[in-house]
Amino acid sequence: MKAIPKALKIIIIAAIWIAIWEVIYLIVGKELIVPSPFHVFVRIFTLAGTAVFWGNIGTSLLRILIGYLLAVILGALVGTVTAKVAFLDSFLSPAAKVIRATPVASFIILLFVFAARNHIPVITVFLMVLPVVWANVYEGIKNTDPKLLEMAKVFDLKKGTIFKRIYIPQILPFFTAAVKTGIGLAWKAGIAAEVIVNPKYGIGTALHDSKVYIETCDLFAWTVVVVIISIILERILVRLIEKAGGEKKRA
Amino acid sequence: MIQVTNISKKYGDKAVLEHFSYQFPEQGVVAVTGPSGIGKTTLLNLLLGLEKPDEGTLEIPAGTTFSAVFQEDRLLEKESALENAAIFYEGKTNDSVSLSAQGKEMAKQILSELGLSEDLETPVRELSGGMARRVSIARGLVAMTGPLGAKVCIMDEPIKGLDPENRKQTMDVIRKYCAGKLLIMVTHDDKDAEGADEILSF
Repeated sequence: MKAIPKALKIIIIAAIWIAIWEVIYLIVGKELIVPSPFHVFVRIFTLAGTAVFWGNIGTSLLRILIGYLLAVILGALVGTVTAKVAFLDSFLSPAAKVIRATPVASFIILLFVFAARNHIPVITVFLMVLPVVWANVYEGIKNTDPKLLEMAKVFDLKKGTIFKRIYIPQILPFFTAAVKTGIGLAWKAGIAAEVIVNPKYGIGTALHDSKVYIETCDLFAWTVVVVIISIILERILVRLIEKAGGEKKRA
Repeated sequence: MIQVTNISKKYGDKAVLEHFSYQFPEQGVVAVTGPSGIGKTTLLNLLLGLEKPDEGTLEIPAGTTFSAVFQEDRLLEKESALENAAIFYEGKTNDSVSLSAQGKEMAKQILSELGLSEDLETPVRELSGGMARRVSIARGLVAMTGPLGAKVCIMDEPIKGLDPENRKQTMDVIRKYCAGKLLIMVTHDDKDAEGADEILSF
């Protein structure tokens, strides 16, 4: 296996899975239930030639990234504050528990009352990602070695230095894990919200329409697109984190 | 002059210090000896302000600054030997989060004297136990130097676990940088206590 280049290996494995899909299509024999992979890929290319396709993707990406970024920033802040202030921890932790336990669909439907159609996916993403980042940053801070903090106290170290040299290295692995889990979560929750609320543009709207008009081929095509973008997003994010981590090391 | 009067400290039901008094000299080496579990480390923690006594008083003249080498190394594992050693050169007065050039220079010098000149840039987690120990000692000593250097250094078994050939060299470096200041050092080894100016034996 060693002689086979990595790219070729991926292509071979992908080809096998697509072949399995083709076999299932042939067994089922109904394009309406399982379309042929060939038709799905042709459909993706046809869609990719339209402006609406890119408009849908761009709008969904924008919504999801805004909700995600807000959740990462606020989650890091709230995680830090609750780890440091016991009162705020006991006050806010029930909120986190409730948010975690609430199904995405409930949020989306509840939000109909308060928010504009276009904003609901953003808020949904925010609510899904917030507790994940919050909990991980909290854990990271709580896991900081008290003996190191004691040492910092003895040497009368500045707060900024303590933060940079003791807390950050401790929190970083927890934060990275949250950010990685969060992006997948954000993407899926955001599209689910779009499917339910049906804003004018969005991948979720396209999925919804293909369901309504029983366009199974479109449904599959969009799903493939969602998976591909999800993988690309995670790759980009991991690269960004690695780059940021590497720079910190050199400083 | 640091004066400890009639101090008692309990952990649960276990009394580790009972009505303990001692007057530390202005300068010199005070070796603290005695079997383990008798309260030597507790005494150091009280002096450093990390614990409060249940009874008694602790008089520390205003402006007394401390440096310390703890029983465990307590190093920043991901950072290099040099960064670890230089970090306390200016303590809180260092406004920038980055390390000062003077601090790094001093850290380099002391690490080299401790035989670590080859490993200045090595992250601490890649060093052997004995090497990490010497980085911890270097950090304590760097904090003794410079215009803001600490006046008192507290060391909890600093050379425990070092190779025999490193022990004497390390002790010499410790003495050199603590000269004219007060060094309070817990030790289990009577040999290390021999050269001390005072021996506080529990």
